[in-house]
Amino acid sequence: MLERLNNRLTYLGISLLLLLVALPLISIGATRGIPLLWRVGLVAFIVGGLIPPVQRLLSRTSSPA
Amino acid sequence: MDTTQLPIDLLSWTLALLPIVVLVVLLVVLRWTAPQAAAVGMFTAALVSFLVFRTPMDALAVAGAKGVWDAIFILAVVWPALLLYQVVNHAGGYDALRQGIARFSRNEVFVVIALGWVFTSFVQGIDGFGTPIVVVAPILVAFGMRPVYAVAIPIIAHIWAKLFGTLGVGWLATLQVVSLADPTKAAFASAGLIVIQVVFGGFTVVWMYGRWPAVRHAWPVILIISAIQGGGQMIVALYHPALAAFIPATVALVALYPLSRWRRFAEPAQGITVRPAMRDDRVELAEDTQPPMGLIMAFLPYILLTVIALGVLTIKPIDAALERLTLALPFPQVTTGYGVQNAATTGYSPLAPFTHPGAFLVLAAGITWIVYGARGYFAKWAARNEETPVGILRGTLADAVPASVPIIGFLMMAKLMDHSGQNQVLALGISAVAPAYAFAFMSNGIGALGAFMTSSSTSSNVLFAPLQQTLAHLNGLSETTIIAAQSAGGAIGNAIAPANVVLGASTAGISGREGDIIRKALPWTIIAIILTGLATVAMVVLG
Repeated sequence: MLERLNNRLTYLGISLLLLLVALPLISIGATRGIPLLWRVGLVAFIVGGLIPPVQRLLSRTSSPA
Repeated sequence: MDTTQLPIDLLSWTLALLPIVVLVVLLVVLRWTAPQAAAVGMFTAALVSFLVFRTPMDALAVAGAKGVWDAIFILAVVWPALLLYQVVNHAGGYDALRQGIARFSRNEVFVVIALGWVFTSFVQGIDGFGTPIVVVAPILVAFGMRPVYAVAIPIIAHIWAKLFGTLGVGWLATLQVVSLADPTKAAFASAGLIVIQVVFGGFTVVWMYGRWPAVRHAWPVILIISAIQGGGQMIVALYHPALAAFIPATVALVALYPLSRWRRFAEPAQGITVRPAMRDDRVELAEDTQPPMGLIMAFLPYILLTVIALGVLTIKPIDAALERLTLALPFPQVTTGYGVQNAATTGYSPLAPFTHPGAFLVLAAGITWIVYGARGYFAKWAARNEETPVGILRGTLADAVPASVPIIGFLMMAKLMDHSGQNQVLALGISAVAPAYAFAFMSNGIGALGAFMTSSSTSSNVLFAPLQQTLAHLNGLSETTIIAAQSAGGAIGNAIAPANVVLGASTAGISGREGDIIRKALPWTIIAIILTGLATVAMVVLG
């Protein structure tokens, strides 16, 4: 997992997918009153958004001093 | 949107500004990559929205989703533009462009003006959403320009055509959100303020290329092009605002030919010893080097792009037929604890995929791919470089994914700030402490702020023009002048808009160096805002 997160294209690809997947979930969930759907979408936003800064943190901690 | 309950005090104003400060510091000062800086900026905006501006979770989710949707309009240009870049690059098209341009004119300053300023502006006249940047930046790199300059120069040079470019989309959207007594007068005033961007942009492009010796050499052509673009835009804005950028941009492009025959610009410029924009390792044209294709064939995708865009947008029956299909998502009404409401919509910001510039780019890239393949350019270029002729799609993916994440992050941040009322607090805060003339001076800065956040002059005007009109009325200022200042500022802010910078960096091959590009464009932006502010005050005083 850590190795995959160190591959820039892989981790940004996962981040992009999560951000895009959240869009219809939130639209449908919020419009049709299905809280579970938009909450899942919100979690996808949070995880997708966290990936780039977390990767920065991981690459800094894993790099030799 | 009801904003009357929002807290307008120093603490709230400072916290509303915090996401922008965080983004700028991470990107420009600490040189974080764009995806990392955008994500932290987005989370800062979300935290401030939730903790300070009483924005509930459902409103945060809806704002974030709308931000992703807004980003899709830009991504629809990024992906096909990068595909086009890969197609041309894999066929050796940029090598042919470099050699062909060098044969066309021996005067390097003239070529920089022609490509970096005039051609960029022409593309902006018909295609928006950052298309001019992604098209011109790789051509300038191929010509021998340092990638950071190859992005900064077209960004600065096309700003003047933002408001009336893309066949007037920005101006027409502005008229949808404000009610003006005399729209023609406002269009003329806006075009008048934008003259500053034309003249200052032209001189800056040349100064960036070769400092003062280049300016001394090229000043006549800068003034001629400025007169055509700036003066032309003012005149056409009086009669047909939708064509106010396109017509003068086209006339300037045509004017390049007689100007290139002028002896002053037909021969290499003398005395320009310092050329910070050009690479030290730039390979001069060798007599025995045969380009992989001719100049016309290398320009094929850009000729196709122009023909397709003009054909679709100017032939009304085609435009109407293609406009029929629109995509949009519904969103419910969301309200914050301070009573900031965003109404429910059955179709938020509809996207017409077949008339979007991205569709023109896809078509141009597809046809180019077929033509280049049929003529064997990919195999020839690969053989010359001893490379395997594969990787167009893989290369596109490798460039597009890192560019897409920060663009979504920037647009989500902008929408979070909008739906939580942070934007309104920023604008109302400035108005609350600034006397009338000071507000007039700063009004274009508010427009620039909106463009910085949304990477769009249209979005900036939609966001801030109604507020600026109200504030102008409350301050006893000319609403026409303040809307003109907002529109001019909305264009200026694009010069440092992170999404635009990411776009350019991705096609110039310098992803991760977005902060360096912003540092190049920032001084121009600040000076342009100050000059436009002074001109706005002069317009207010002179009535």
